[in-house]
Amino acid sequence: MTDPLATSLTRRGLIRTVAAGAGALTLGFPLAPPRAAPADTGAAWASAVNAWIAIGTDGAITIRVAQSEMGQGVHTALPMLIAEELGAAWSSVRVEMAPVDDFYRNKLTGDYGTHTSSSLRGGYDYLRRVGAEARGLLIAAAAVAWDVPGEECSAADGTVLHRPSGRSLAFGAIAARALAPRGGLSAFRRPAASATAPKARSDWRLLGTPLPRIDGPAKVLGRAVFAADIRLPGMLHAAVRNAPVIGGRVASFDATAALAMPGVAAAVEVPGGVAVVAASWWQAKVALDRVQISWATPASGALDAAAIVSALQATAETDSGASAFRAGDAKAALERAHRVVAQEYAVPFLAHATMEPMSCAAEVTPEGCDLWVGTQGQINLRDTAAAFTGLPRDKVRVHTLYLGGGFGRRYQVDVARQAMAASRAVNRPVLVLWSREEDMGHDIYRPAALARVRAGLDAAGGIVAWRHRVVGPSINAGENPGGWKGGVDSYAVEGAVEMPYRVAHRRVDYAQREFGVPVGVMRGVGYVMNVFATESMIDELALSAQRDPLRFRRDLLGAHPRLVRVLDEAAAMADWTAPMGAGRGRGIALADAYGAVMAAVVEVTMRPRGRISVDRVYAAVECGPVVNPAIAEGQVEGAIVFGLSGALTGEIGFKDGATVESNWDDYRVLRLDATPRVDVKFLASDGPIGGLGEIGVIPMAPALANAIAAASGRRLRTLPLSRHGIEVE
Amino acid sequence: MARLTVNGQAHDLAIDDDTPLLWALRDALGLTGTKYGCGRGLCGACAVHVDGEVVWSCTVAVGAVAGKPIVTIEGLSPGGVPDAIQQAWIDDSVVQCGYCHPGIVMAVAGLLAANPRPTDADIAAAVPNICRCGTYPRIRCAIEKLAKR
Repeated sequence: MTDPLATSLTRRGLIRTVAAGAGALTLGFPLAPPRAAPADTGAAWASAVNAWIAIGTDGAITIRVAQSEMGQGVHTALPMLIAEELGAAWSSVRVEMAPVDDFYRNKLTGDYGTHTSSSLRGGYDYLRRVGAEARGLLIAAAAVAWDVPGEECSAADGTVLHRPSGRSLAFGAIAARALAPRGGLSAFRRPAASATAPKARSDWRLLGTPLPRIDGPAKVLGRAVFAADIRLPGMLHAAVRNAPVIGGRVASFDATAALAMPGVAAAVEVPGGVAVVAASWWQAKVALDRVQISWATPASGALDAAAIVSALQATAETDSGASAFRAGDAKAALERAHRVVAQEYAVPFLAHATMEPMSCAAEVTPEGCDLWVGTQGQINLRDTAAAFTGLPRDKVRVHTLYLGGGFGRRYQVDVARQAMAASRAVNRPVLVLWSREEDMGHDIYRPAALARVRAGLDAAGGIVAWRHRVVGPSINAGENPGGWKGGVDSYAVEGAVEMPYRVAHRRVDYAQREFGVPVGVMRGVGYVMNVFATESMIDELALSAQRDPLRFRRDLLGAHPRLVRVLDEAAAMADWTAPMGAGRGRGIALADAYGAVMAAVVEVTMRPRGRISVDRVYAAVECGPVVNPAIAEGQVEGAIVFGLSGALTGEIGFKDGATVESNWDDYRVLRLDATPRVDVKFLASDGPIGGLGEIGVIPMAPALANAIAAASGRRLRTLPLSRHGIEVE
Repeated sequence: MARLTVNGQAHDLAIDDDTPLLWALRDALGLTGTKYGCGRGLCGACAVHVDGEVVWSCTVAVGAVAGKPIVTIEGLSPGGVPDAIQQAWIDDSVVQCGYCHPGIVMAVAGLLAANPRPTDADIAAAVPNICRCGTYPRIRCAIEKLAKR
C-alpha cells in the first residue's frame, strides 16, 4: 500500500516497471509508444496495446494512464475501462503515469493534460477498445498454445479459458510463454473483430461498480507523494517571495542576513520574485523573511471589490462588445416587447486555493531537465521547460505526482519556472513550495465578470427576446488564440451562448475589460458565472410572472429532453411541491456542460441577523454511463461544496495592487459544519459519456440565490453572498 | 537540539526549539504524511496527536512537545495496515486529492477515541479541517458508519 505513482517512479523516469523484456508481456512489440495513432491493423494495434498495458509473468497488470490524478478518480476509472475489457482481475491491476509523449494525448482535447472534464470523455471508447484488443491478443496466444480456435476461448478474472475442454491459462503464464525463446507470440494472428468488440453493458463486471479508489490506501496512510513531499538525493528546499504588487518585479535585494542563517545555501532571483534555498523549507522560509527586497512596482489604481464592479458596469454601459451569438433580432424584439426586465449579475475574482500550495521540484543540468510536479498540462509544461532552459524537448522529463488539488490552477507553469531557475542557480535539485500567503496572493485568478441580461416579455409574461452581455477579463486573449475569435473569449461566454430556454430572438455579446490581474481557468470556468446569470434571471422572470419556477423552466425546455428529465428528477427528490415553513425556501437551477446535465435543488432556512442555513441539496445528474458510482457521486458532492463555498464567501479583492486575502481566515471556504446533506442521483442512460469533474459546481450559486429569494423575497445578484451580510451556519 | 518521541521512537534533532513541529516531522524526520496547508493553525492539514490530543502541528514549537508522545498519520497504521478509520475511508472512496485527509483522519481518530458515538454537532466541532475537494459529505457518512459499529 505504498504510493502507486512513486513506486513506479525512478530517479530519471517512470518507465521502469514495464521495461520491455524484464518479466513483462509486451505482446511481441516494443513498449515504447508508437509514433502514430493506431491504425486498424493488427500490428499497429498490438503496438498501441503495449503502450498502455504490460502483463508480468506473475500476472500483475500495469496499466498506464495519461491523465493526472487530482482527486477526480481517473487513476481508478480509466484503468477500469481497460481492465473490464481485458478480463483482468481488478486486484492485479497497478497504475502508472504514461510517459509524456504525443501518443498519449487525450482523444477529446488533443492534449496530454487534465482539464475540461475530458478524461473519461476522451478515454471511454478508446481505452475500452485498447483493453478489448489486448484481450483478443491474449486469447490468440492461448489458442496458439492449445492449437484450438480462438473463438472457443474467453477471458475473465485474469485467465483465458478454453470453454470446450475447460483448460485455462493465467495471463501471467501467457506472458511467461511469450517471453520464452521461441514463444508462441510470433504466431499471433490478429483476432477477429468480433472477438475484440467492447462488451455489452450487460456483461460488465467492473464498470458500473463502486470499486474503491486505487489511490485511497496511499492517501489515507500518509504515503501518497505530492510534489511537496518529494525527496531527492541532494535536494534543497526553496521558499519564495513573489512581488507583492501584481506586475511588480525585483529591482534589487540584499540577502546578507539570510545567508548567515543556518542551513541557507543561496538566495536567488527567480521569475516573479526571490527564492531562498536551504536544507529545509522552514529554514528557507525563516531566512526569506530576512531578505531585503526592493521591488519595482507598476502604478496601479485602487482595485477593491466595489471599484471592480463599477468598472465592469461602466464597460457594460459604454461597450456593446463583440457578438458571440445571434438568433433572430433581439434588439428589435426588445423594442417591441410588452415589458422589458433588465438585471445585472456579478461575480468576483476567485482563488483556486488548492490545499497543497503551489509546488514543484526541478533538477536542471546542461544535459537535461527533470520536473517532479503535480501538473494538469504535461505537454504545456514540457514545452515551457524546454523554452526556459534552452534544452531540446526530449531532454525535459515531467514526472507527474499526485496533485493536492488542481481546479485549473495546476495547468499553470509559474512555480515550475521558479524551481528551474533555483535549481540552475545552485546546481542541485530544488523543491519550491509556496507558503499559503504566496499561493493566495499570486494565483492566476478566476476572472471577475458582470452580466447584463435584458429579457423582453409579451403581455402573458412569455419571453420573446433575450440579450446577455458579458463583461470581464479574458482568459484566452493573447494566451490561447483558439479560444479568442472576433473579440470574443469562448470561456467568457460559455453557458450564455448555450442558454437552453426557448427564446425566438436572442443575442449574446462579450466586452473585454481587463484589470491587470492574471486570470485563468477554474473549475467550471465561464459556465459558473454565466449560468448564475441565466438561472437567476429565469427564476426572476418566473416569480414576476407568478409562475412556479420549475414549471416555468419546463415549459421553455421543449428541445431539451435531458434537461427536462434531470429537472423533474431533482424536483421529485426534493418533493418540490411540498409546502415549506416560514423563512424556508427551495431554489432550483440547471446546468448543461462538458457532456453532462444536472439539476440541483437547494433548501435554505433564513435565520436571524442575516444568517442562513443551507439544509439540503438534491442533485439529479445524467452523464451517460457511470463508470464508478462511488467516485462519480464524490465528484458531484465535492463540486456542490465547491460551488456553494464560492457563492457564499469566495472573493479575492485587491488593495493598492495587491491581493487582500492571504490565508483561510480571510479567504473563507465551506467547512464540514456548514455543509448541507447532499443527495446525488445518477439517471440511467445509454447516451454518450459526459464529464463529471466540473458540472456540479455550475448550478449551485443560482440554486442557492433562488432558494434565498424563495425563502425571503430577497434577490441577490452579486456574489459572494457574504457581501450582502449573509452568513451561513 | 530537540528530543522528539514520534510514533514510539525517540529522535534527537539538531533543530531550533522554535521550529514548528510540522517542519520537524516533514523535513527532519521525513514524515511527509503530515501536510502543510496554512502555517497558522487554520486548516488542520497538519493534525497529529500529542499526548493523545489532536494538535495542529504548524502552530506548536518542537520545544513545547519535547518528550511527549507524538503520533502522526504514519503511526496510526503500524506496518502499513490501515486502522478502522483508514479502512472505512478506503472502502467508501472518501478521499479525492487526499492532501487534507491525513489531518482529517487524525482528527477523526481523536474524536472517536474520546467519543465513539458522536452527534452531528460533535462531528462538526471535531473536524473543522478544510477540504477543498469538498469530501465533507463522505467524511460525515464514514464517521456515522464507524459510530454505528
